[in-house]
Amino acid sequence: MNLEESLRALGADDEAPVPPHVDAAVMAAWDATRGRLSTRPSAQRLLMRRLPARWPLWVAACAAVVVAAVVVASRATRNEAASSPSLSSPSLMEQELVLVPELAEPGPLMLMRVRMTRREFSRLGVPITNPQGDGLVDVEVLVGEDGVARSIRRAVAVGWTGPNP
Amino acid sequence: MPTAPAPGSAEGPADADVELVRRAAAGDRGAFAAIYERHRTVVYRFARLMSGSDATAEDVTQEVFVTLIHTLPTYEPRRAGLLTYLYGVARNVTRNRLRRDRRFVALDTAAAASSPPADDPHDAAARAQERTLLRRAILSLPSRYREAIILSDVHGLAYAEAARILHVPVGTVRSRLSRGRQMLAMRVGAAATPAHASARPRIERCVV
Repeated sequence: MNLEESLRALGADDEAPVPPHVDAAVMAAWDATRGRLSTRPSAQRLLMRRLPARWPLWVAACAAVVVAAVVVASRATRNEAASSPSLSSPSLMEQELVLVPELAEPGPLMLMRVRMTRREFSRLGVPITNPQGDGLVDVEVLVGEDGVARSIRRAVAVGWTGPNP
Repeated sequence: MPTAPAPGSAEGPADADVELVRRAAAGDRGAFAAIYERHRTVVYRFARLMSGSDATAEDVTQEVFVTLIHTLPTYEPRRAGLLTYLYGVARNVTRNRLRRDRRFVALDTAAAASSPPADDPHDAAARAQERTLLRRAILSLPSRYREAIILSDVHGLAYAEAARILHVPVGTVRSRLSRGRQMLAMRVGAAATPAHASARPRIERCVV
C-alpha cells in the first residue's frame, strides 16, 4: 500500500458528519452568550450592580444614624434651653448619656472605648452643654467590621460615678 | 506532498471568513452559523483522527466553536486565517483532552468507522480494513507526529500552514512529517503482518 496515497484517500473519503446535537449545542451556546451580551443593562440594573449586596441594610443603617442625630440634636437644644437660665447647673456631660441607640446592624460590631477632651468631643459634632469646659470624656464607639464607626453608644465624663440609666 | 494550498487549505476562503467574522462579532447570528457550517466538519474530522473517538471529537468541536464565540471580539484576521485559528484551538483542546483522559480507554473508536460503500463488496471490505489499519497506526503515533501527518498528509495543508497551526518552523514540520511517515509505515507494515504483529506488543493509542 502506498502510504501517501492512502493518507490522502483517508482525508478525501472521510465523510463522518458532525452529529446534530453538536450543532444544536454550539448554536445554543451562541444564543446564551450573545443574548446575554446584547441585553443592555437598564439604569436600574446598573444602579443595583454598583450598590453593595446588602444595600437595604446599609440604607436602613444610614437612615437610623440620621434620625438619631436629629433626635440628639433636638434634645441637646432643648436641654441647652432648659439649662441656660442656670449655667451653674451640672452640665449634660457630667451625666451618663445614651446618645444613639444601637443600630440594627446585620454584621458584628466592635465596641471601642476612647478617651478624649471635652473640646475634641464637641468638635466631632456631638452637642454638649459645655464644650469649652475642662475634663475628659470616655466614649464608647460602635465600629463595624469594615472599621467605620457606626454610632456612639454613650459618653461619660471621666470621674462620673452616677447610676447607669 | 502538497506545498500549495489544497481545497481544504486554511487560506482558501479567507476573505469570506473575514466578512463573516466581522458580522458575527457584531452579533449576527446568521454569520456565526455560516462560519460554523463552513468549518465544523474540518474541525470535527481533525479531532476525530487525533483522538480516535467520536465522543471526544464532538466535545472538541463544541469547545472550539464556543471558544470562538468568546474570542470573536478580540480575534484579528490579520494574525491568522480563521481556519488556521480554528485548527490551532482544536489542536490545543484535543491535546488537553487526551492528556486528561489518558487513564481512560475509549469504548467507541473512530478507527472502526464505516467507509463509503463501493460497488464491489470485496473491494469495499478491503478498503475499510486498510483505513481502519491506517487510523489505528496514526493513533499510535506520538501526538507531535500525528498532528503533522493529519494536517499535511490527510487534510492536505501546506507546510507553512501546518507550521503556523503547530507554532513551529516549517523545517520542524518537514522533519516531523518525515519521521512520522517512517513510523507510520513501520506500524502499518507490522499490523498488516500477523506474525510480526504477534511478536511485538502493539501500541493502540499514543497520548503524548
